[in-house]
Amino acid sequence: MNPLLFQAPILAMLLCLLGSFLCVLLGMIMGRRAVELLSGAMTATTVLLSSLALINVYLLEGPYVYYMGGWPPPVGIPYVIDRFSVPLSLVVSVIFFATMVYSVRYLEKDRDVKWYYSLRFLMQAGMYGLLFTGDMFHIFVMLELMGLSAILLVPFRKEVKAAVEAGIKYGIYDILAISIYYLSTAMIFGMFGSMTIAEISAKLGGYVSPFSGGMFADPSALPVIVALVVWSFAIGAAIVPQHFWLPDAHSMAPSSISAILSGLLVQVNIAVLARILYDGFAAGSHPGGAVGLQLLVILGVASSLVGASFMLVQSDIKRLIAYSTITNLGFIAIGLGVGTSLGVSAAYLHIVNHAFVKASLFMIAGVFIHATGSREIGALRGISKALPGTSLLYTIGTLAAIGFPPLSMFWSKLLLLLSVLSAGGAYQYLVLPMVVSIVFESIAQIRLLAVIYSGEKREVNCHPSLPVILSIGIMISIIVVTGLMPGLLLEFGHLAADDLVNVSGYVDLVLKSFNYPAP
Amino acid sequence: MFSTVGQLPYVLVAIMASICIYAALFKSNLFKKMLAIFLMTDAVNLLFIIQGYRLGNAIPPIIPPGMDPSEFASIAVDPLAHYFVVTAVVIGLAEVATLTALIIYTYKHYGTIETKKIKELRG
Amino acid sequence: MKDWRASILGVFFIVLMSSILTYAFLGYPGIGFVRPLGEFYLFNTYNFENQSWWSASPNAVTGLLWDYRGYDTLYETMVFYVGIAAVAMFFEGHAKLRKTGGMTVIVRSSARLIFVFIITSAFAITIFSIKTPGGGFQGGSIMAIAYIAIIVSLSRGFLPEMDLDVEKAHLAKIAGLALIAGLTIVPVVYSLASGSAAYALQNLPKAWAPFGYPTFLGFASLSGGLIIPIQLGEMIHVGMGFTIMFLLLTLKDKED
Repeated sequence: MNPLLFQAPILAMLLCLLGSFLCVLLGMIMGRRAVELLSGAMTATTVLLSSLALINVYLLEGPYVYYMGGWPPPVGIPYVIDRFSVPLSLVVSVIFFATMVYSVRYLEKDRDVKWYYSLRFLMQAGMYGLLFTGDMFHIFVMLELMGLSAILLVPFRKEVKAAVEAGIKYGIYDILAISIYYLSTAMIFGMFGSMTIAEISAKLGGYVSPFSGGMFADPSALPVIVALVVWSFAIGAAIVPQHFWLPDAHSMAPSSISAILSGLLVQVNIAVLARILYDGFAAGSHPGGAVGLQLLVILGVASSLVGASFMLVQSDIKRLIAYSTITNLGFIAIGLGVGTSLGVSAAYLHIVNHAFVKASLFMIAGVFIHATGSREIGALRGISKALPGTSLLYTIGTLAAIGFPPLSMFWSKLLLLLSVLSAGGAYQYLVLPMVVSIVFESIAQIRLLAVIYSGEKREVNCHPSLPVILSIGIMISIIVVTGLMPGLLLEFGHLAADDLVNVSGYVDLVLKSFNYPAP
Repeated sequence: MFSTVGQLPYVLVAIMASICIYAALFKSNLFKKMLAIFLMTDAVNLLFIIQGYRLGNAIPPIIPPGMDPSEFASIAVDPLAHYFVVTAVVIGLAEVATLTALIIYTYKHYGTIETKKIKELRG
Repeated sequence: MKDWRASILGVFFIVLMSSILTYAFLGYPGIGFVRPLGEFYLFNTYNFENQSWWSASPNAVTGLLWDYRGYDTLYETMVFYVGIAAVAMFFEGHAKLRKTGGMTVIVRSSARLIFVFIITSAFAITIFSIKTPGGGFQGGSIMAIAYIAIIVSLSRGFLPEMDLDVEKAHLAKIAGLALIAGLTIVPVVYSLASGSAAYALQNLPKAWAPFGYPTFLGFASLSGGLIIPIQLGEMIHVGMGFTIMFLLLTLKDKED
């Protein structure tokens, strides 16, 4: 294999590592322009490297495993570069690049941007790590990296009282979630004697590893571990009843960070949970793992209903978008929990589409807030006449968010409904709460649109600069283009779901695809 | 209930972790919440140590000069559990630094660290 | 009345949660059972006869830290970096270190002497961590104690006498990180240049990946390939990080 293609995803991650401290160095000796140039160049390179990885995995070599430090699992940490993780890593790179372009002008008046860019890089590295890794303990380390940098970026404007409050609230709950996850890793170590995700499912099927032996405890206790893992990720992914930190944190953060938190962070959490449940606890075949899926469905239904009904009563534009995130995460949880291949591919597409839509909505909301100087929805009256271009972009984003055909989220919502209907049994009745929450969400979003287009032309504080419009334009055009190519989209979702749900294929890839001398 | 006495330390871990989760969720003092989370990490560290310990005359996981590796592997304690604990301790320090900085700033803004009295946001 | 209800709820929660966890532990092996993966590391970490799985570090924990599971430790170091960033981001604006004179020559030179002793022991603990307990983090903590002891016993104003302020500490910390990151990336660059397989943070040559750092540096007591230099990088990072944290937090304390 071409070494550049082989190393591309890891190189992207190591670039983020370098960027994190080079930003601080340049900020101290040269000033903010140098920091912005460096982080812009580095984020652009990560987009390039992630695209190379995507081309490699889809068109050239197919999925492979990268052995960190050269040690095969379970001795070392495997990075699984497959069709589930690589497209998501490209989404991460693209959104980080777009918000990078956006931040340059958005944060013009803020001091100390070196820490902002430095922590952004670490969050990006944490996301790559979470998506690729095949090791339970490495997930713990990466959750901490991503979580702590996000916690610090929420109160980046530390003079704002409410931002610090949102930060400490998010901090306490997120770190508690990670600690609960740490407890579950210790229990997994006791039961399986290994931290590799592939070995867990292999051992549940009776595999005896040449390195770590078989199982050391009865798997009847597995549901407890599964419940702990689901609990911890449900806090991280803001699934009801652990959702209360999300509207505060996502609305009080700077808009460029809200876009990342709402578009990527929660989705990465739920993607990792899917990886653990399906490939680790063999949720498709083992009854212990299936408990996790049932929990996901129940919590997902509650999430979508609660999120959608709270959307109806919001008066703050960013809180409204944040509650919409809770609703859509509920949908994703339902899709993953239904357990069929169709459900998983629908949830996967929803993760990707929702990431772009939600990131662009938050970025435009940031423009509106700068222009009007207020976060209230009422203050947006007449803004469409003052900022017609931005309002048009916002309209496209909102239409995509409520699933207006042929924009991207229409297809994934349709697929989710279809997957629930075709799952049979009690699951087909889930279509009712889902339709109710889709309707509620549409009402709330269309009401916001009506406010934007009503009223007389109003004065605005400032017009958005070219880079800001450009970065939002990139995101909106991705939404439109992916919506116009549903066939390609479905193909991606199908292949990703295949790599996720097919446990034996995953185990073979991680544990048996490589010949090494016997220990 | 338990098949061996050697399993009793697990009960200690279970109780300690439960108390810490309770305190982190329901105590209203931010500093107490932070301490509870930190102690929770320590309970898990204890769990790792229990699972990696060896009874009898165990030796640390450092090979003495001249000892045969297979003999060493049969008497030393588990280095993997130690490794997890070392990593988690460093991460716990970073958690404490982050939360302390945030709590100090919360106190600066609100004059209190009781969550019941900090009500700018509705949640 | 309300407190009474809250404590009942609390006792109920704790009893329920701990019995669920205890139930999960019922089938676990008792204390004193080392899992085969741990024995694998113990057997192979310094196995001279069969070097195909070794890390060349007699201390198995150190071998795990920077060889077998080195990529974990790399990002654990970055998590610590976030912790320092937290303190720096929130309190940096307040940091104004002023030089305070007034110490006698005896105090100054004895402080310097003790400082040198502590720093030496930090280096020793870091470098010999492959043979004795210790490591970069432990050495770094001791290094930070050298500075913190000066802050506590003399004054913060004495630190400029030792040629240290927040800015310089940041630069030194970044130098430590650059050493760590550089050693991580060298195998990747080698792989890109030569076309043969090499993995990030790879330490010693393997049958399936030929890249390797030198194991013995001429004199037999030093081994472990990249472990010692990377531990030195971590020591500087951690030591300077703790010093920055204490400096900024104590400065804040005084000015309010």
